[in-house]
Amino acid sequence: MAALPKIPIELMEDKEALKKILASILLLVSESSGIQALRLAGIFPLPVVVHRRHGLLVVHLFHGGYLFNGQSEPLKDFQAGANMIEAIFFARFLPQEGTRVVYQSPPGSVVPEEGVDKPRLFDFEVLSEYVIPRQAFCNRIVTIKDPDYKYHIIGHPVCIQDPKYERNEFMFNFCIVIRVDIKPTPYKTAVRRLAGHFTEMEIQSQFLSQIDESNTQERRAIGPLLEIIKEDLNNYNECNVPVDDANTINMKLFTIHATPPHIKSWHVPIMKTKVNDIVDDTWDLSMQKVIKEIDGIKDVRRIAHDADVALNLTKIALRHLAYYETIIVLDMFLFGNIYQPTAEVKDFIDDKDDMQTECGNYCLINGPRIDNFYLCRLFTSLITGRTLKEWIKMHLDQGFEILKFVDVRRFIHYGLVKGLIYRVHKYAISHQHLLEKATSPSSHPVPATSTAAPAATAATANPGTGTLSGATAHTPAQGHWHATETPTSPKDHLLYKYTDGCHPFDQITTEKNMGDPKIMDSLRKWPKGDLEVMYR
Amino acid sequence: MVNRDPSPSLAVSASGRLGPAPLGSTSSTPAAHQQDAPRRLLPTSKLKLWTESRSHPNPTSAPPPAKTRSALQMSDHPILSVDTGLVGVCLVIRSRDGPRFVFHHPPRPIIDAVHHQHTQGTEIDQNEVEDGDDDDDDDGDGGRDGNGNGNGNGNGERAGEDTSDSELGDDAGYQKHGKAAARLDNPKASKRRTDHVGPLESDDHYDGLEGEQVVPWETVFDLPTKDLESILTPQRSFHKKRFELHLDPLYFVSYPVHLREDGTWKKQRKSKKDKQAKNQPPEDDRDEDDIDPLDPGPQQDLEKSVLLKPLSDDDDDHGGMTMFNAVFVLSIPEDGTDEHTFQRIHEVYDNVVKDFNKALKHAQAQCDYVWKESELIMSMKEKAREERRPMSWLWNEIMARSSLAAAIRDVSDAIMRSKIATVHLATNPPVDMSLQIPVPFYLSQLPSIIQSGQRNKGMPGLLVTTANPLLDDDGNIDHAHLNKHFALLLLDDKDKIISELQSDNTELSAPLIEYIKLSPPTQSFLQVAQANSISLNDVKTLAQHLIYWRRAIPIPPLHARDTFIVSPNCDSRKLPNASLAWIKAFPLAPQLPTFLATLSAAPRHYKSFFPSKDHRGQYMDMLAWLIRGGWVTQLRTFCWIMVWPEIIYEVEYERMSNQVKASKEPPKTSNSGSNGGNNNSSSNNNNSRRPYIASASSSSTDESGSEKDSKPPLASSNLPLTSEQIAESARLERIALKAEAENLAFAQAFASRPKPEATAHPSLNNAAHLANIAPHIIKDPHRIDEKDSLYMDAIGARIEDEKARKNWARFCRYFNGEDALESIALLEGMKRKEAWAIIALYQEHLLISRHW
Repeated sequence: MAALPKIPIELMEDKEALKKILASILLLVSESSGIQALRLAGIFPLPVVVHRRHGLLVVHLFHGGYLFNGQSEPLKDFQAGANMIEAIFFARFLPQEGTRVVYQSPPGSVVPEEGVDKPRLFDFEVLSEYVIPRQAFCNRIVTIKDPDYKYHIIGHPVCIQDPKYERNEFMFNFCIVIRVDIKPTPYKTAVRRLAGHFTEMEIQSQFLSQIDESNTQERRAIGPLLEIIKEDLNNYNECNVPVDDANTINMKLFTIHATPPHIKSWHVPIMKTKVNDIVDDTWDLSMQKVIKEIDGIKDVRRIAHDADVALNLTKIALRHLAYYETIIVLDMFLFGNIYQPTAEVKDFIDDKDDMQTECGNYCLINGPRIDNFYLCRLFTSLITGRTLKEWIKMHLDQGFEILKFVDVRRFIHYGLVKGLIYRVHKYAISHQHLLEKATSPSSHPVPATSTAAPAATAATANPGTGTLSGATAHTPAQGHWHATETPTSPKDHLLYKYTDGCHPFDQITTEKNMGDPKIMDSLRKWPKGDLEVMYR
Repeated sequence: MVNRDPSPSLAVSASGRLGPAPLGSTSSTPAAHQQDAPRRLLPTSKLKLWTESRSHPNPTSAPPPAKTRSALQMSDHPILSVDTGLVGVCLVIRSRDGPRFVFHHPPRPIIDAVHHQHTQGTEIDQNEVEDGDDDDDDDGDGGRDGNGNGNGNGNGERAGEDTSDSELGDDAGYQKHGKAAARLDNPKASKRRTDHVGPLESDDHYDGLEGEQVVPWETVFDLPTKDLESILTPQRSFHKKRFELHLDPLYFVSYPVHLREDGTWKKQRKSKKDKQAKNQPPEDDRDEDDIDPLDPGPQQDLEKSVLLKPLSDDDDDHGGMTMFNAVFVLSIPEDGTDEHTFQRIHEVYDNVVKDFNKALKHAQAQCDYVWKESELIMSMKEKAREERRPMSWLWNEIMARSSLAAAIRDVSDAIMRSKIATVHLATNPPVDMSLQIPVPFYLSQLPSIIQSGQRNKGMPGLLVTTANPLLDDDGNIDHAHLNKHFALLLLDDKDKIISELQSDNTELSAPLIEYIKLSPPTQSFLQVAQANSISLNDVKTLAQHLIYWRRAIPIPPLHARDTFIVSPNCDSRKLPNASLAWIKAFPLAPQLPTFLATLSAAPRHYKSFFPSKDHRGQYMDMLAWLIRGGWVTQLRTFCWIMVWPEIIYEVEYERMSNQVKASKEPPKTSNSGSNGGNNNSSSNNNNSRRPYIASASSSSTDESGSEKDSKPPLASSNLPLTSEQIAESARLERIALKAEAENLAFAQAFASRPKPEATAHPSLNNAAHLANIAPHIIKDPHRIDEKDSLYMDAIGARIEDEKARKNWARFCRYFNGEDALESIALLEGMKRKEAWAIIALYQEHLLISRHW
């Protein structure tokens, strides 16, 4: 590290300079093997990870987001060596000849090639229109499927307009061919990146347009380049190919995960993987703090408090973990909760995937291991209308002391994670609140979005947010309630905004710091007959 | 060439269209009806007419029943709104003059901005990210200019933006195609896009920078139609294939149809009398699709020669049109998964795109319909262009005059809103068809907690239940038929539907109205059929019709003794309006929140909520209302057979005593008989207490048995015993002796065991010898081993009530955790009370779980 060249920080704005720096780092670490993480504070604002793989050095630049490479996140969708890319080719538009495939790998896969006798993947003539489309469709991802519906041809046609070219424009496209049943998104990224790299190189040095004339030594010819890219992406899901002194093509195929759930303040995150083992001090500070507090019991609000991280940042960090499927979010566990089995409970009884043993081991406490039969019985005896407390009591009456044998919290978590049961939430509904909502039109389309707002704003905002302020002008209903029942209007009630049937008690608990009995107590002050408590 | 066309003909697709829940109309055949003795609600002729298109003479090529447009579909039921992703439909043809962009609808497609706010992974504040990217772009521009590569004005900018986008925006940027692509588009377009503010934004013509006329309808999706028309007219290889083009951010999906090489649009029948050729019988279409049109068959030449003349005659008529292509354009919200995208495209393609293009082909083959209409539309456009008419005016004109344009409008509007499209092509005879992307009418599974973020996307308001109306009595899914033990629940007010049907006034209206009047949600199809002596098939057909048209859903018949709970999937955001509607519908009933709260407090028989017997009717109506809105769902009861230790012990004891008896008898005499029995029981026995003994004894008897059988032939060969044979027989002897000793020990051990004692309540038997035995659950009575069947017999023998005992074996098959106990009475044709009384007697032996 000591030998790092001094580079003025101003240069950081310049991408070219950045590349040069990277190249020098490559030289520095070329002797080492394995994975190295360098955080060059003061020089690089970004963490850099350098791999040495298969004789190539792979450099990852990370900006924005957290570093999750290194050892975590196996690429589930791509199996190394699975050869997802059937072919890769470079096509350009020649004013005299039209669209031409200049290089292809493997040879003869797209257009006939001398000495290759294999059948082509598809008829290029039919699809050439989509490989080099009209100018209006250039500079975007263009994907076509062949008539036999066997292959995606993913390309990103580029059109560079410049008077120096014949017809004032230069059009090319690097295409990747994959089978139809393979998810295309990661490859779209790769194709877009290829287009970007080569566009830049073309603008710099007419790298592509002068191919035919000179093939100088220091430059790698495109054919072998494509070959390497294809092989590396197929085998390692990433590639790092130096093209010339200044340019290196770095690509990685990223698994795209589904959009993670929104984290609510009453959720309880549970670790699925041992993130603690891979976290290092290059990680985001809030993330580090938050991770330390995840214990499967604390709710998000508690985590934020204990970690001394703002609630909304905590939620972002957790959502990030959820995106990588490293945590699961569940509800707060309380003995007053109600759970209801789903149809999946049959899978448990049938002992699919050895679930019973798994569950038994998961919720075991230091006692004798109970027979799986009792686990079945415990799940099936959960039902809406029966709190856990009552459930435990019921089994006690039948001579089975649950608490002696089973960690109930873990037992319930197991059921939730496997989808065997779901939580029955408790909601308060005020007739008056509903009436107001129904009569004030503005509130209609998107109620209940305030739940996502950070607690800070929720606390300061007028309960019921803007929508209700409009309704205050005309409140016949309110007058009605005044007249009949109480001196105080329910609208002034601390919990009024939670009484539209969209806010579970859990939310009240975390946002108002009230336990279930306290909430019920508070709701008792409600005008008689106006409030209902619904379980669902 | 592999023909991957999954649905080879219109006829097939007519039923295939109904997709996962094909409760469509074409399922019953007249032949099936003949068998039914009871009164026919539907005269066969009518049924046939309805099964086909109402006014179309060609039964199969005509798509399924279309109603007149007035009847369209039912009002906005909560369950019926799914985002299909469709943003527009366009028609492109290739004629003598080359490709032509004929028509598109809507005139100004709106690509929902939300669609392109790709939330990538964990980005929470979308705006922040987007802004960040813009900054990146600016930096990129600066950097490039600094490198001296600026190419002046738009040209350089475009290339440059692309670069910077790919380089800097990579991590976050790859998900924001929409924006990026739009930005990368030529500057003119993006400039114009910012101009699109008011409703009249692009209604009028204006002059471009170089004085050229900018015609409002010559740009769609920010793309010039001149370019689109060429890219959307694929070559012949795509003839009747799935054409799927992704021009970021839009997906273009279609089923291009080319003129056949013989110059016709449809394969002609062999015997080519002109008239027959025109009114093609059903099989024709299928034939045509089966045979690859490019395949030069043996008859091809013959046909050609026959057809050459008419072709040259007609040449002027179809203007040299060689292909047409109705392209459906989708903008799919990217939520990160390709599965989602794939599924959307697939749904639209299978249910709409293909059928619409096939119908056009039919019409084109019949009377050159597509070309004539296209010609009309194009000439109107040309004229309007000269007169500089506003686009809105022109579009109204076109849709008024061209039935094809109107059909495109109808399809596009309906499918975009996930409704049923009714298409009318004014050919002679006209083509009427309906197209829809089927919507589910119930959810069998809550979105899992792992994707709990999706929970809100899981179509709140949709009924959750595991009762599948498509399961036949044997538990197989039959897409064409409804289970006869389901009932029909109308999704709207009965009178409203009836009046709609009346105004519709088709031949089917009368039977439908009659059926609706006869069919309460409390009676299964079978019961309705029996009570009114109507043929069951008619009932099912009518019900399927109503379900296809989204006016009803099949549910298990409602019963006051069943239990209903507030659905976990109900959409409480709709509560305010729903409770107003509730008051209107049931002014005297408790308010909706009150009623839901009462139902949710604890699961009870619905009947127990009736204030009095007289309220029954009213309360059942309320229940139907609640289920229709997805507010409540039935809590059904499922169970498994539970074997208590007492029973297990008893069976085990019995088995062991048999074994002891068997082992006491000399093996030689009872060789085959007891051997077999022994074998079976011991091989099935995996009692951990004495596995060794069991296996040893069985193997010894086995070997000695085989020895006996095989020895005589050996001995008869008069060969002297080899030393091996002597050793072997000595070994066998030793084993036999050992086994005998063990048997004896076993018998002694057995004798010391306590005798099983049948108590009245096996579940409460706390005897010491049972303490170590865990109760056992029989997972599936359909697939049981011998031990389970012994258990079941033992339990059956315990049941005291004679009737219950008799029914035990019959009822057992429902105790599999999958069949709801509520349905047993219906399935067995018993009285409900009777069935429940019997089940109650089994209760001690059942593990019960209640869920939906």
